[in-house]
Amino acid sequence: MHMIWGNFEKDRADLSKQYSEPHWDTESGLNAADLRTACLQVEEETKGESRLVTKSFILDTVLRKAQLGVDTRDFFPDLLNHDRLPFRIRDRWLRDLRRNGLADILKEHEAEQAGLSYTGNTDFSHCSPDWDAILQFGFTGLLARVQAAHARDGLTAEQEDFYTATERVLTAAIALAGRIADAVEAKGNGDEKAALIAKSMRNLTVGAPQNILEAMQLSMLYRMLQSAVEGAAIRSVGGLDRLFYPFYKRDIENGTFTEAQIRELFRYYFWKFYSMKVTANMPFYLGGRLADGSSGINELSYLIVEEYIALDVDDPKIHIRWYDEIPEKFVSLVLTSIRNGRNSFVFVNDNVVEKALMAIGESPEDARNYTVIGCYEPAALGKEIPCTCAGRVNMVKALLTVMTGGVDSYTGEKVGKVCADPDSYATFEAFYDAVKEQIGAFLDGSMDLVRAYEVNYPTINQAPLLSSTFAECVERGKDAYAGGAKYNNSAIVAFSVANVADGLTAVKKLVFEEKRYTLSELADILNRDWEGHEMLRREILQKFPKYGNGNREVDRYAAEIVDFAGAHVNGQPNGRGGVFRLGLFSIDYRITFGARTGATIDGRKNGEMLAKNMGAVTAMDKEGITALIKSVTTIDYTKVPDGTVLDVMLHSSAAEGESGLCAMHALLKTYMECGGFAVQFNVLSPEVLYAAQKEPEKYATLQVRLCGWNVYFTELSKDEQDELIKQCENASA
Amino acid sequence: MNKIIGSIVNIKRFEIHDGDGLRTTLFVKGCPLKCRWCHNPESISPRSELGYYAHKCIGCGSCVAACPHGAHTVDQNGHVFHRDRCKACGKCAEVCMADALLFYGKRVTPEEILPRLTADVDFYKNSGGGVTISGGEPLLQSEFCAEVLRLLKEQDINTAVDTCLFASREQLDRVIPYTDTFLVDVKAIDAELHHTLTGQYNTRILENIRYLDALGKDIEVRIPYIPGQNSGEIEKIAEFLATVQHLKGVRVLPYHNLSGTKYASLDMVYPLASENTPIPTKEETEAACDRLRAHGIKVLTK
Repeated sequence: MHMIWGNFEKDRADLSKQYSEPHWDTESGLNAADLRTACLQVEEETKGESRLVTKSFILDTVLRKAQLGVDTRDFFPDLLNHDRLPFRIRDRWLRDLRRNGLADILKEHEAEQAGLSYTGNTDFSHCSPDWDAILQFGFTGLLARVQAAHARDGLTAEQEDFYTATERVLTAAIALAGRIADAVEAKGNGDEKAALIAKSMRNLTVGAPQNILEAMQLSMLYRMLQSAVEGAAIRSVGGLDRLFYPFYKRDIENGTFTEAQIRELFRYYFWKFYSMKVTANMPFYLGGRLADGSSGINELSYLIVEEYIALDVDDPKIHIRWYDEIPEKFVSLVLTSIRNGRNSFVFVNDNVVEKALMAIGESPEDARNYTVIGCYEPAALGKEIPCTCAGRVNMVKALLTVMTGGVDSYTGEKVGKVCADPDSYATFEAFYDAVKEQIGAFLDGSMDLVRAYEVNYPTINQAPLLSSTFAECVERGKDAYAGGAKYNNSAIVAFSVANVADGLTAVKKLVFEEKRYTLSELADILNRDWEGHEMLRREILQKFPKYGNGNREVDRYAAEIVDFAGAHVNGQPNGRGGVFRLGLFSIDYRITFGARTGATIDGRKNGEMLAKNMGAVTAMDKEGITALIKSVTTIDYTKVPDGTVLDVMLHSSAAEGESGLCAMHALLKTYMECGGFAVQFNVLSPEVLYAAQKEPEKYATLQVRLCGWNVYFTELSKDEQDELIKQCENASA
Repeated sequence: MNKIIGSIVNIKRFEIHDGDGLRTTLFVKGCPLKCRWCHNPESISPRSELGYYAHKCIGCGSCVAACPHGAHTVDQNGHVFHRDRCKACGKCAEVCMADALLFYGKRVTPEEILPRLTADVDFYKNSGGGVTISGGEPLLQSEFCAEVLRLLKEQDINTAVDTCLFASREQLDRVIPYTDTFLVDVKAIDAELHHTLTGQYNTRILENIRYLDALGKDIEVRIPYIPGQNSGEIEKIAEFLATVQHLKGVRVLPYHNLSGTKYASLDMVYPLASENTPIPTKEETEAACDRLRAHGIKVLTK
């Protein structure tokens, strides 16, 4: 017999392997091979129907027939042997489209996509269902809402398809919850904990969640159904403190669960995320302004952060929605966690996000009730499908190819629109205009590609489960990926702002002010990756003004480029009846796109990484973090509705004690007050110091506190560095 | 009116241990003391000078071309800096592509450095911070520092002066009206020992502390804790500080030996290098703090 409570420490090791080494209950349904046969048969049988109908039958088959893998120790059973079959079928549909319908446009943009000047693609991986609707209605309430809409007169054939498809998958989801409840009960064999889990799960088959356990089970099960089976990957489980608070409060008041028990539920819940090993982690947000403008931080916000700290794992990742009245005590709890190395947090600025979303046409109410999807991209909860990473634009390659007369050295092909002789630019302004024109051409190309995919979404990706949670989809009888949501938007993510700002500065100085080189001579030097010109490269790196140091001229270029890109992208029609939104993050694109970008005039070598997110080029922010923040916040982020972030690196010695906490707080608050979009902190560890020893040029701005003042780590000799590493290890022991 | 000129080592933003909140620290050049453990040897001499960090040099020869006095040569064995020929004009540091040459002692006016000192005013506001003048010894350039402080107070910015207080009353009086907090180093009470350790007697220093106290100025004291040097003075320092009325608190700064590279860059001898002075353990430092606390003194940590 298991006690219901107090088992987490005992269970955690085994449960951490539940996804990587699943145990399927062989008698509970079809194995992967048989399920595949069944799904292909369904696809064959529904030929001639719309893809939405086909998809709904495939989902129905998977939910009703796939094997289960229940573990009676887990409060949140969600293991289903779906073998990613719906994904595989969708991917095949997508491949067919690329080969046939999209062949011409892909050819047209081949050189640009091959050399990673820009790309345009589908994005089914950044969405969030309407968590309010899910928790308020449950599966059965969602189904009833769809049925009510279906009962209306005068529906079109497409609407009929939508409603029957949606009813089919919701009914199958309810059946799955029932199957899971049965399996847990049978396996538990009278076990008290299994009985509780089964009972809660069974309640979800008849109504909305009645307590926090049921609410969390529904959240976890729905996440699995949509992300793993339906195939539009959820990148946020929403504002957990706000969503679960009414259940929490009621359960505590009624004595349904104690606070200690609810804490234990959160441990099991987060442990699922940790065990899933989802790429880029499983996010949710805390805080933010509520609909009536009041403060979103509540007791549960504290409890959740405390449980995350206690688990000591890197997943989940937590978005903190910052607003003016956010309690200092809560911010201190988070900052303390960050400086202790549990820093899976990003702060996102409500003030900026609301304005940015309204600027692309979202209502004030919808903009306020945003969730943070993926890393730092906001989207109106239950109203918006934002496709936050659909298009990607390498802006410094635009600058580089203006210098080469339009030729991309990676492919040897012409890219974009600008192809004038580089030496024909009589003034810096003429050159600068050409760079903007080329960036504009890249943005246009990326948007064209995204649109071409999007008009085909109804035949590639259908999301009836997701759509059933969106009020507008249900009202209109239209799938969320076919334009049924209130806002059907998509993003173009542009990056390498710092490389462009530094590059413009260098060109202005070398070509137009000092007249030491012509543009074509510089292009030639870059084409040979600075060979024979290392001193010029060093001079540019060491002596030229750089973005990120509070230099007005360089920072102005960064701000102007962002303004230009924002005006070019934001509000442009996409292929699903929505608009484009500009994002400015580089994430790992800085590596992949950097690898295909030749040497650039900011001093970067061929193939090296591009600048990270909104930060300076690595190690070029020599004036320190406060200057970096001032530079970064000269940019108007209300023009960046798809989001961006600044990465702040602090040495643990600069974040120690009361004064360190006060400093972190001041950095954060000032950044937000100055209109920054989002910010994340790194407080450094000995491992980082070892890396700094190996590659000092990349860590030139790493400052260390000796005992009463700061020095730069790389200015110390090897022995002194070793000494400091020892101190650092001692401090972290 | 003549322009007031100061000689500075550098300006560092985002300092958190030089007074309250988040601060910018101006390091000025020149100090009347020569503490044996000094961590900032580049700020001791009032004259401009060049630091050469050999381990960073890439041997590019830019400095050879820039130097009007032939102080830099590069041959097959690499770069040689001839300090005897150096006139400390700083031209080589301007062209050094490896940050191997650093120029200490730039001549500046208060107005010229003000924008950098006030750039972080938003951060000061959000942290209760401001600007600290440190060194070197700020009171050695009291006219310059007083003018800098006055300009800061015009903008209502919190100010602190980090000083050893080895200064005349006249020098001290110049900065008092514009200084919110004095960060004062106390190294030893025994006059002879103080002379041995720093090259000067401490009579004036102790008198100046009393003077500031009588004026009601905020005083934060720092005690460098150097085993085998001044570690035997803690009790006496505690007795003295217990009589200071406006003491905001005391910070004990344990010795570290991480300044060797700086001494080498200046061709200076690190006085403690040969003495194997140990780094105080946490327990030793804590014991020193406890002795201060035993006298009712507030000890500041971090």
